[in-house]
Amino acid sequence: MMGRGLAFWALLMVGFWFDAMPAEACLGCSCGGGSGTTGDLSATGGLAGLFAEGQRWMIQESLSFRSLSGYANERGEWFPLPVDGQVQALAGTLGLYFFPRPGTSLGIQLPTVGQRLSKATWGSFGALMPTAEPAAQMGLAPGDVLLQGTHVWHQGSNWLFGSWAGLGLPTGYSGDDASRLSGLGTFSVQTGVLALVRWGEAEFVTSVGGQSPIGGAVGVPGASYAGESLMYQVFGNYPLSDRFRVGLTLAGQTGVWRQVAQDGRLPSSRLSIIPGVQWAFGDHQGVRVALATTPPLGLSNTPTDWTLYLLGYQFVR
Amino acid sequence: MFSRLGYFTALMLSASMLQACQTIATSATLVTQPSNLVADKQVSVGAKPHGIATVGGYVYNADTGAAQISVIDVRSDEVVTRVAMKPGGTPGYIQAFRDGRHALALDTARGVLLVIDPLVEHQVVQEVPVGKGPDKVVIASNDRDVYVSLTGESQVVALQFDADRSQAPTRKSYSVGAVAGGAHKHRAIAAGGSWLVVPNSADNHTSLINTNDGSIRLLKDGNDPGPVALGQQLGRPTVAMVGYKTSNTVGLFDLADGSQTSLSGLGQTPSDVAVDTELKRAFFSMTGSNEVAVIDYEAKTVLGRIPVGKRPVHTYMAPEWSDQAVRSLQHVGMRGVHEVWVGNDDDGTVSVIDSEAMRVKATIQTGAGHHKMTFWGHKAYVSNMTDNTVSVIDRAVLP
Repeated sequence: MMGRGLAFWALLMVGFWFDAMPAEACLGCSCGGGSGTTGDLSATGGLAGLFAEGQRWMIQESLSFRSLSGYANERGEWFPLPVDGQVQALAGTLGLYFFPRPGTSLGIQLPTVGQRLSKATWGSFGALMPTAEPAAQMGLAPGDVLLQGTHVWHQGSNWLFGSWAGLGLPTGYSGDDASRLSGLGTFSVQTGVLALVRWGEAEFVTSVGGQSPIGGAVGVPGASYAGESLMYQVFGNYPLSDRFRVGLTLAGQTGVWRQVAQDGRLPSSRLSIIPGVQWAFGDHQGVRVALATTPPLGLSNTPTDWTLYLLGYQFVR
Repeated sequence: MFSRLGYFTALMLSASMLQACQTIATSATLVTQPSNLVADKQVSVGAKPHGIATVGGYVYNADTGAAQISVIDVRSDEVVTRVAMKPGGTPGYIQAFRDGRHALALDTARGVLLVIDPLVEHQVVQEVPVGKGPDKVVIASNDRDVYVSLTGESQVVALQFDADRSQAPTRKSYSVGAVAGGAHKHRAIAAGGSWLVVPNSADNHTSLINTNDGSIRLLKDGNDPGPVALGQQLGRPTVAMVGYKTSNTVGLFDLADGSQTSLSGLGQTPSDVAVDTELKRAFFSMTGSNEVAVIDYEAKTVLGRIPVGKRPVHTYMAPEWSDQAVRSLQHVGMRGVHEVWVGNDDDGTVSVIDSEAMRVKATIQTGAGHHKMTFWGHKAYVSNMTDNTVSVIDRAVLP
């Protein structure tokens, strides 16, 4: 079992070590594999079992391909990408989590972002702008490292209640090369609560939290970055068999943009719909495939997109 | 839960829409079948030609990649000489005084404004320090007041020359906001009467300056202010116009009563604007949707959207042409002339719009790259930044 798991991870880890999204592209939440918080652990399905044991590790690797389709302005008016424009991102994250005891986890996420910008580039406040660059611009940069922890405070036979917190480190790129944008340009904190209810074989999880940068961001004057945000995620999954699970996530955010070197704030909101399937190879490993869509509905200063995720996890004692 | 979220987001949307002032939208699109023409001549100049203006029978073209200004004689349409910049200098925008006696050229690297006399072997007769990152220069209708926008400092510079420009100009500055962007910052400026309009993209507002009393009002409407202009009636500025590049809106600010109107339904990414003062229309190039949006700034309505070439950026209200010399009057219309020229940077063309009929009457093949334009008599000169050429176009052949 262990050998097969290591082989799987060796294969999965070669070539990609990506995730997170650029600061101007979207807020720190909802960009990578779900909310971008410890609440994402719920996305592996079988959350109740996730915290059932102590003294074990989980390695979680995600690869995503994101294609932007347009953006909404502050009035909620949606616009497609500039004519002939393409904005795409290949991102991935290596996540390492330690469960010191049942109900508690500590984790770190190490993201990297690769982007391709053709006839379009990032503007302020989630907008996508035409560019004078004749050729496609490609860039690769590490993203903001996220330290996180989760604790289950109360647990019953069919429910649990916990909280999570995270600290984002400004390890990403926030300079003036739009193709390499990958970070907020400042430290950020995240915290929230999550609750799970099991109804028969189905699991329903709700996670609500907030995110805030610490201090002002360092970057290009006038560039925008994620400010204070309320994040929410509703997730349900149902096992079709012992190994196969289907799920649906609604992940949203409502908050503000902030600009480098000034106090201005502008509203921002988005809502993503993320259906997915999960296949467990065994009791300790599995993969998940999900397709996230941010439709042009009820948005404010936010890009619209679709993102294909491939996520794998492996428990190690 | 989903329905609640939908309700919540709808509520947010409604709230954001209520924040806007008067909103007028239109989706009218004007389809045209223009004549397709080719420029009459391509004149080779130095690397990366950019700023361009006509003065005293010569076209001055800033070769930004060659640290020189190419001088083209309009009689032969040949380069007759070159004005070398001082070491470390880079030429930028060029404008000509209306009396045809001097041209102004910005040295963007050294932060100075050069006064060039075409009648004295194109010598630089004055160097005027202006500040860090000068980008645009505008000459007021009195041919004495000159305004320079800066990208490296939070101010605009106002210079006043004497009648024959024999003395150093008096200098004054106005505090404005900051400019966003990295290596390629730009800041537009519009001047008319006693008003200056200066966008501050990093601060997401625009400074409306009354030069009579020095008062400054901050205009806020959409996001990322870019192109600016002043609409006039009976020769007096009446409305300030600001294009918001990420909101895809235009804000109209009435100078008399202070009211403001937001216009949407324009297309995407307003980048430059030309004004036809006789028709009271403003023509905004919409770079993200390959259109030009037409606004009636008196009625404060959108009149339509005109499809043009790929990636339209700079727009010019072409001056009336005749056998006598006339100068480039970028962004300012002249009585009796209804031609807007639009540079399409991605397909090597310019679109000529009949501003009264609101249709493209000709599409002219030029060279490749970013375009700027100037006009002299019946000729138009278009710089082609990638090709290192200036296209010469005979306006007499236009329909």
